[in-house]
Amino acid sequence: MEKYIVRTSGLKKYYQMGKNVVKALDGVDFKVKDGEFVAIIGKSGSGKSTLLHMIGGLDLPTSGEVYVDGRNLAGLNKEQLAIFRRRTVGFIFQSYNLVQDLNVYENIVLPIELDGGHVDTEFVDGILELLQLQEKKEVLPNTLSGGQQQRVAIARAIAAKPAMILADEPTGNLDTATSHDVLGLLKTVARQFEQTIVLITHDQDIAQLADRIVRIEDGQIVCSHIGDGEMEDSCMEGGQTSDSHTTDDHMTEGSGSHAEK
Amino acid sequence: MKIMISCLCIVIVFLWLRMRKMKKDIYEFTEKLDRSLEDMAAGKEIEKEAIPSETLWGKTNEKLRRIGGIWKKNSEKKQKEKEQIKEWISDISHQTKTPIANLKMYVELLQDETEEEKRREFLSNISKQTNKLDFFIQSMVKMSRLETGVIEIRQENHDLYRTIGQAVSAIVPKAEQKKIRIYADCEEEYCVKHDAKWTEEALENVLDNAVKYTGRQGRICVSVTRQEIYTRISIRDNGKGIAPERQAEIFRRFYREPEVHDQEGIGVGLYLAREIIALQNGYMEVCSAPGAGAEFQIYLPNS
Repeated sequence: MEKYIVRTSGLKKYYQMGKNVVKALDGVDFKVKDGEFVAIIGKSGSGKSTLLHMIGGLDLPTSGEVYVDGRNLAGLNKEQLAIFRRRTVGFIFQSYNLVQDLNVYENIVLPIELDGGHVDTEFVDGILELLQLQEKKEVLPNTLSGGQQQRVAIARAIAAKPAMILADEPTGNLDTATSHDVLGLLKTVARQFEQTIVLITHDQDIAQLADRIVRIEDGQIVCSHIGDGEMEDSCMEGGQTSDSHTTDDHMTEGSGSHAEK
Repeated sequence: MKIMISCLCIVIVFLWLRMRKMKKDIYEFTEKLDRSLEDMAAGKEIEKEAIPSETLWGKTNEKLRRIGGIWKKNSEKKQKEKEQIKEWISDISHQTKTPIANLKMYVELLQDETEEEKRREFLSNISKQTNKLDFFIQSMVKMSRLETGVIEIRQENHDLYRTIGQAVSAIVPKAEQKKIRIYADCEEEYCVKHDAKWTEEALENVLDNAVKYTGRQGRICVSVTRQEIYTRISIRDNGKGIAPERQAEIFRRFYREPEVHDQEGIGVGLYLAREIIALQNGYMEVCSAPGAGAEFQIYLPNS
């Protein structure tokens, strides 16, 4: 029984830098539950981006396992990884990566059309409304503000209905108030569509909006705790050695004690 | 002529081979589809292709798995809801038990008591307990209506200034008792799409909470700022504050701060407020530290 969208165990990524070996990730056990909004927080160089690259299938680990949506990424070649990414992962980056020659709507449905899928217009309209973009449908991206462009990128990621969305410093180019707004929106959308989101940030304030915060330092996870969100205690455990069976026990125990309160 | 015939033969053989290959492909595809559907019907997980591929089966497999996932999620959700209802019922019975026991006791005492003054005291106690029960039941009704979707939240363009004004004036008498001052800073005729009645309820709950946890002669400030996507309503008090580990807890149904069990309330105010705001596609946040007051922020989408 798979319960996790992402599961890594003993994940290591070493880089050879001249004569030195840089340990970008050094034994990371990390799990993300279906529908969870997790923030990975850490300073630059802590390995957070490397971790995101590993679970997004953008790079392969030196050793250890990465399971995403029940599939081991280690066994895939470049082409297969590309297909995996297209079907399973939605990316949101600091730079919005919108195609400037296409209008907002075309940008949003582009990944679906590229994969030869059918566009669910009703679904896309729902997303546009939630993201307050319905009036900007026909507009070209370069006429939009940064916050609006990032909203288009969010809509694009969600429209393809990926198993998870990876957001790498999505508000890096935005001012504080807009950052907060965009993240709030991402959170609202995540809840509405029960979308799994892994967010990477160095900003504590931004991370606070997630259901769970995972702190990473020097390539290792140092702590994992609940944020401002609505998830129950059960997602608290960082998943050191427990397999899904013991997690089940833990969960029923958790809800039991809650009922007694 | 001979060449033509042999050419024709080659073409026929070629076509026949292709037909056979196609037939085999179709057969294989159907076989896999059938197996997957059987797995689905049995409630089993559909076998995943180890390698993502560009083939039709690759895509179909992916979609079938997604559908299977959605089904499973839905059945799990139902199970969870069932458990929640169980939990809820046990909570309700627990919450109503005490006032009802008290009522019974006072009624019994009243029957035996002849002294006028004592009787009056018992009656006032009975009235207090009845009010408590009434408040509880009213909250229950609101909660269940919101959760079952009987009440539709109607987001229309309303003046937020009015909504906030009404919520504040509803709370002023309570604040007055503790000499708490309430300051509100909002532009007049501030139009934002919201459900006036329910948003007022949410604001009232947050304000009520602020009054409850703020000491005598404290202050509560309400302010409104329009951001790019959301309108932020901030409600800040200088009360006792909330410890960080409790900040996620306070929005839970029936959660009560352990120190204030003597105060009236059943722990649904903030839960209700958050539900109401979430139904309007907004969200709520809290910033606080023990001793440093608390700031609740309500975010409502601008359009």
